[in-house]
Amino acid sequence: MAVLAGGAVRRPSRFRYWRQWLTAYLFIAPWLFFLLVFIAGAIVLAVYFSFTDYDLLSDPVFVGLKNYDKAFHDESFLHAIRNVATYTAVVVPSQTFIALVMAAILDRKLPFRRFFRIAWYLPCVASSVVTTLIFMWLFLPDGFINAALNFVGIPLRMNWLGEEATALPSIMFMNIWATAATFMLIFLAAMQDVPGPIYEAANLDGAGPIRQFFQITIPLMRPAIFLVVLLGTIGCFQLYDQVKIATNGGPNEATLTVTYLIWKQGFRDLNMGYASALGVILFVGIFVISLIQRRFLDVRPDY
Amino acid sequence: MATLTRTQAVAVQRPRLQFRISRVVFLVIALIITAVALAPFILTVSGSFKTKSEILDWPPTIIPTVFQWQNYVEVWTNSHFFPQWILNSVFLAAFHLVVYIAICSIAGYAFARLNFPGASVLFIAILGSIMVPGQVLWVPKFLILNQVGLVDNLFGIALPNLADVFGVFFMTQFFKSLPKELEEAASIDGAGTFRTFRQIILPNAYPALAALAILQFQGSWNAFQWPLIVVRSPEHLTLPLGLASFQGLFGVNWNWVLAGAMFNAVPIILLVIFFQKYFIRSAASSAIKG
Repeated sequence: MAVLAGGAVRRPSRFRYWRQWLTAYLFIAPWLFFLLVFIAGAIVLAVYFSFTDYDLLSDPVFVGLKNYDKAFHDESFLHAIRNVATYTAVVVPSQTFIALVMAAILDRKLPFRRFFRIAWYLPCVASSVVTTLIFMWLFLPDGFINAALNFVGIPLRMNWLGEEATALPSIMFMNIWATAATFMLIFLAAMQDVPGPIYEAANLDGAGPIRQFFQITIPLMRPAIFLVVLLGTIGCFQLYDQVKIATNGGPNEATLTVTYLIWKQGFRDLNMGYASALGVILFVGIFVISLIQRRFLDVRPDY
Repeated sequence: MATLTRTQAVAVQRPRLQFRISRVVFLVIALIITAVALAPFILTVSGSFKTKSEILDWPPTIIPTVFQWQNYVEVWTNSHFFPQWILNSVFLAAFHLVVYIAICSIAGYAFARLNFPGASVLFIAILGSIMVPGQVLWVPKFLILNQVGLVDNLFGIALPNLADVFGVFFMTQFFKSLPKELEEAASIDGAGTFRTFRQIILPNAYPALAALAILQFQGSWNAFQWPLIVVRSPEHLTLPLGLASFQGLFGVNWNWVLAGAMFNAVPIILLVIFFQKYFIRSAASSAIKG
């Protein structure tokens, strides 16, 4: 636009420049307001409250690092970290592998692939509340999971979500079912970017479809795999809905997670300061894990 | 590349039988995955028509022995606030779509096309705030709402969601992809920036706006974590919160849960079926969020 104004008259163009600043800030003002209050302001407040004792009734009291010290001596918090670590170690590899298999199958030009893609994606679009409630019903001692096991000859009548040993694995199963297809879509997009001539050359060399998948597709999809592992890990660290709805962290803290503990400390027991400190620890944890994963999983594809 | 013609020749000579067997194997695996993905939904539909006692029968029946609408009638009339929950969810989704999309598209346009000091710093702040998990901000956001008296209020759910940075990022990327000639023609005609945006740019942005709307509708309609923190009274619950409240101190009303779940799931499933492309595309672009 400055070009159109031309060099002939200098002043109006300078005026225009200022006017453009003003217009731009007017354009972003509504959004900037909400960002400054509910994200930037909230981050500052979260850090501030993490150094205080605050129960909503009396004024916050500055206590320094007490809440952080308390966290690392809190049996429940350490238990929650162990649960989340176990959960992540099982769910991330399984859902990544399943998503890869799903994408590899859809990438072959099978009949009904449009139907498959929609059907597989449905678990990802239903709300977490609905899928959790459905699975609570399926996991009942009289539910369909036990019925299916009986059908294949395993005579079980387990209360899957009510037993300490099986509650967390049941939630793992639920979540892999509900999220695998999201990651499948990322893989599918990446697979369609692999250049066709590479496969043709491999065909020529006599490599079968399985070998092509492991020696061509997988290495070329390293950026996508990194992304899926990273997003999956972040999602696992934030596990909350299923725990809140189905088990409330139980039985006996078997499904207690860090986010559930934040809710419990902040909104049930009104320890707002301690809950803030747990939140800050969660953020640092996620941040460090993403940096580590970035180091270990080389993100560049090797051609 | 030079091998291309040779490859085609080889492909013709390959035995087709082996090719077919692998196709059958893949098709079988695909059908198994389909069964696992759909079975919970199908069992829920069938369960929602069963009588209250048959829902918990052992062994469970796949097709109801008595087929009845009673659960739908009951959940709608006997569970006190059910229609109100649906209204609340519809209101929140509508409010969010209209206001959020307006805010994001106008801000996205400024980031994409207008030069202003602080633009790059702000844009980096956008990307950085994606790294902060929502749960970290539960306490401070709640305390802010508490100060302004929006706790247990639908606007307490709606307003903080407007700060979500994904929409601005999404719209900025889209506006950058539009050809610059669009505005240049308008500015020769002497149109101001806002008029150019409203009359020239926005009509060209409908596909992106639709994709953003669908993605945001899904998020708002299914939201659980933040509404759970903001609202308490039964008449202010959203549909997902209301459904979750069916299981509680006095056991679970499974007949209400299964019938009620349909009201939440069916709209979103229909949306996916009709707007498949948008979902696939937005899932691929939400990958950028990481």
